[in-house]
Amino acid sequence: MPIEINWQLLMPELIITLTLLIVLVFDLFDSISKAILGWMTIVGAGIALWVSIQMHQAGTVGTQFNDMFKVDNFSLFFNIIFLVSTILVALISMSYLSRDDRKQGPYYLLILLATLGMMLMAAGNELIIVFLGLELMSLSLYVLAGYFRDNPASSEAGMKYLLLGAFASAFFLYGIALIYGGAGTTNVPAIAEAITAPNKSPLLLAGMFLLIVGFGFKVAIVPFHQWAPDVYEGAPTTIAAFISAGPKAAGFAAFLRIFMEALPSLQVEWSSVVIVLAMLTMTVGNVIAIAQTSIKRMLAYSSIAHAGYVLIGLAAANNDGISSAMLYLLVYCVMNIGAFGAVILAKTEDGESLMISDYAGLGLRKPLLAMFMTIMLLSLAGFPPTAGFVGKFYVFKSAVQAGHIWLVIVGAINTAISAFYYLRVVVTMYMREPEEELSFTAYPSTLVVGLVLAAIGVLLIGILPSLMLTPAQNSVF
Amino acid sequence: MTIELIVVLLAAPLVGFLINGLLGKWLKGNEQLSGWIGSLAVLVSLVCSIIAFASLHGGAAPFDETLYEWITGESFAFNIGFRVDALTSMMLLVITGVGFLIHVYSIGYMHGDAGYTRYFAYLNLFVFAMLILVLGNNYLMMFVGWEGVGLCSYLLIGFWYERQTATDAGKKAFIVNRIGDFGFLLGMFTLFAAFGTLDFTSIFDAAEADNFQKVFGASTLVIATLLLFVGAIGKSAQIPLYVWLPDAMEGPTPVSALIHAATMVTAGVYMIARSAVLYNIAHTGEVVAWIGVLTAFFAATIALTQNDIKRILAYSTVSQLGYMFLGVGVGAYASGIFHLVTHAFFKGLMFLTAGSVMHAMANELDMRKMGGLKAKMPITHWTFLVGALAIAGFPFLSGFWSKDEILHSAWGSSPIIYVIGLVTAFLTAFYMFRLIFVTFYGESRVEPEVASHLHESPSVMWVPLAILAIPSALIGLLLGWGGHDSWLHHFTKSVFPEAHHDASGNMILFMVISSVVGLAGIAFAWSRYRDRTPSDEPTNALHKLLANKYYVDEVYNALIVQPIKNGSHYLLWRIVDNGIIDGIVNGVGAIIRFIGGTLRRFQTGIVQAYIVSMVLGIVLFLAYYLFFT
Repeated sequence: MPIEINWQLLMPELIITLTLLIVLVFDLFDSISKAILGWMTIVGAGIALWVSIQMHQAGTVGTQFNDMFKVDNFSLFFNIIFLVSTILVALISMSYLSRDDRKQGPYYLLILLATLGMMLMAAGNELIIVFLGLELMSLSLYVLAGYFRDNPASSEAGMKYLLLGAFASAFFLYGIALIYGGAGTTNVPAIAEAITAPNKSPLLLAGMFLLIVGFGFKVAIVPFHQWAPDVYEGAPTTIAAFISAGPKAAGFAAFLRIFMEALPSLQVEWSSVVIVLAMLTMTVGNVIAIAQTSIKRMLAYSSIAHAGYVLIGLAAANNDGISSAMLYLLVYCVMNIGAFGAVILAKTEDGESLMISDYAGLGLRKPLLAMFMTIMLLSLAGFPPTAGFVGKFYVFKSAVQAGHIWLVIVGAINTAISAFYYLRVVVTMYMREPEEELSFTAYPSTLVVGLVLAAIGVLLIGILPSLMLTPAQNSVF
Repeated sequence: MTIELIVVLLAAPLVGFLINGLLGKWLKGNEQLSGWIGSLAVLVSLVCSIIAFASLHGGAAPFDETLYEWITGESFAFNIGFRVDALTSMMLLVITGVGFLIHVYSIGYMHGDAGYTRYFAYLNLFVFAMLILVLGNNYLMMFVGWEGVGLCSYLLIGFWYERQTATDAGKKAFIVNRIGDFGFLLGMFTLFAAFGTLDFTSIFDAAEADNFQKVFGASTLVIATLLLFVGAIGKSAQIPLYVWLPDAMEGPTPVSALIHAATMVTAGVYMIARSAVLYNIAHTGEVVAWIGVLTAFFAATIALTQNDIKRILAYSTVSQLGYMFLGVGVGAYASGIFHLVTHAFFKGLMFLTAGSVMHAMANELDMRKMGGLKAKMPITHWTFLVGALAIAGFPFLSGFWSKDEILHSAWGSSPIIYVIGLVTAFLTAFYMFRLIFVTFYGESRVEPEVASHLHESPSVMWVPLAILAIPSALIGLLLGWGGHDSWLHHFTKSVFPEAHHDASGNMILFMVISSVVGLAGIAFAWSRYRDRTPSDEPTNALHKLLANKYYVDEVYNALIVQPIKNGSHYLLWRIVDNGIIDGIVNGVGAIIRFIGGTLRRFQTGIVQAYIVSMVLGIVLFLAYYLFFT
């Protein structure tokens, strides 16, 4: 049976595919400057972003390939998150990589492949497609994490990520198999129909738990989070920013769709687990973050804690919960990439500034850098009028609506705990004198552009939340 | 009037702030450009304000629109919205009009300062925050502006941060204002608890509705209005929180003119005028009026004996703010705002002339070292004289009209208040002309090396002075001719509830009395100081008391600051902090560190261990499922 393909539905994915092919081809020519590859990535992702926004505004809905691939506002909103992350990461990567020309081609190619994988995950209406997307994304990330081959820490990070990731993928696949055994299908809406009967077979429940493990690994939920600090610390800083942003959002995209659309009748079972996981993730992430002296590790634990805040939205399991989780993910991606970007900006003659103590006295010596860092950290801590405040507010609100008061109380306490380690960096920058004068390198313009965009985004959403809240509310399946 | 107009009005100084603040490094070589960018930004706002004013004056309906909802919850919404009515549009004209002239003046005044671009960035940010304060259509936005102007005030008082006195003054202003802001915040909470919203329109409508009185009673409003007034006491430097304003003169003089005379310190008066409906229902105006008139008198007596030009002007500002509170307190809201407007012009003018004197005198402020400046600085002298005549209530100049309206309304409320106000008017005329005679007339006491450089200020400084002198002289006549039937009262009639004072007594008679009192003050100053220098040592006990400002700073220091310090040191620090809190914090810290340390042990970096933990997670899931469901 010939498949009728509606090309228009696949536009964003096709544009990204085309872009990565162009990058691949241009990388073959030694005569051209490889700096152009980064710009190609940005332009391609920019066009895909623009198309996604247009489709989102038009409210495009449709399925493709025998109902396996579903384009709706939900998937399009996540496309926006992924593409914004990709563009920002490309901007902060350009100066980071420029010393080694040979490395540029595969780098952008892998980023684009990972982005494509994420888009597949968000649009997956079929567990197998979600798995394929997950693998496409993960394999690219494994390579990226170990991208600096001559750096042992980077290689170790890549290796660790691969081993543990493979393990998690196995659980995930096993979960799919068990759900297929219980429901007789792997199609998302079909699973929901199959379970409406009072048939809650143990197979389904076990499969569901295994899916939680798989997703829990990808989005770094406690107790499946342990890879994250090691990988973030070892991986190139730009890649740590990338892994902490888009892939986490992609994991949640599939998590939300599968659990809300395929397994709503098991909500009683999974929501209590999700609540416990949310509390555990926030608390463990924030408490361990306090003890960190390396800024990349601190951001790693902070990103674990943020996954916990997003889980609050899922635990609420209502429309507001989903839209607030989506808004939170968007906000989180922008501010987290911004924070990592500021770390990259704080480069000295001797290399990157990776210890929190390296940031002492930056408030006076490097006011622009300190300002960027402060905006991002205040947003991560959730101070108004930044986007982080708006994100937290709506996530907490959805949980209150769903009656999970205790979850919100734990979340609020955790926000207070997190303020401690975020503000400690701010205090270090503005109120401590450095032990030795560090000589910082000049600001690369592309990096500054990326940070300015992130800062504008963070403040704009903070002052004008409806700008992104309304689209998020219109994107609930 | 459209929303676009308001957005442009608001955005212009913000853009100016961003340009000067972010690109300051590149502008440093060309400070003139930086100054003109800052001034131009305010000029744009001024033009927008004039358009808004013209459309309101032409009979257009007041603008009140919610732009969007910032944060919404189940039962509440915080909105970003603007309100432009007669009251706001007058405030806009004052802020942007006086603000623009002061920006231009600063281009000359700040010439050569190392922090030139930073100065204009702060000044633009201040204008932006002040505009937010008066444009908001709810208390939350007012509060945002309220805090914003407080921050800018702090930054600008401590502008020359390498001077210890400047940073101390900045801190003092900030800390004293915190007390007031805390009151304001509590007032906002009270209103929110009672009305479930912070929008002006909703609150005022609900407060006027009868059922509110039945459900909550007026006591809620009494508490709320008094708490809000605590905020006004801090921001507008009234007893007992006025102590920060005289010290705030450590900042650059144009800042004193703009922030600490013309605009920010009047925010409290604006707030009460804006909340007129609530104050009328709660009948708390009397408290406001008494605090106002006592502050007016008290500050005027201190000003009698000071020798520092800017300090005299500062105490004079505190005193005049007291008049404004007296006005709004007795229900004469339009008259209070009237005095706010006239005062903004003549006091702004006098601060700028004081700056001009400082500019010529190598930053000398002690008027005992001046004298006879009239010959060398004619424009400065004449413009200052206009300002001083205006504040002294010289017939037909601005202060005459606005002060007289307030006193007239005060008579209707309480004759005692009226008498105190009248005595203050005499004192005002006296201390202001004492300043004039000692500074500009008589023998020159200027030190020789300073005298050789004595010069009139450059045109970029004296032109704004000359322009400001015109409204300082005439605006009272324009707005106030006809007393309670004046243009101003017609224009603001839609905003303020019917004033409940009965205009008893003959208006003309009051005017004559005020004029005579003002002229008597001037004459008395002439008789004592036309050819005499103020003595260095206080001559009697009263003089000593006044010269030392009633020892209020010392009393506060002994009664509040030292006890708090000692309490902090011995009780809070040694016992509570070191013993109890540190114990708890260290205990919690130790526990967290222990937990963190224990958890970190799981973070071995060994992949097998991580896999074990994942498997353990699954086992726990399954166990939970098997045993608990």
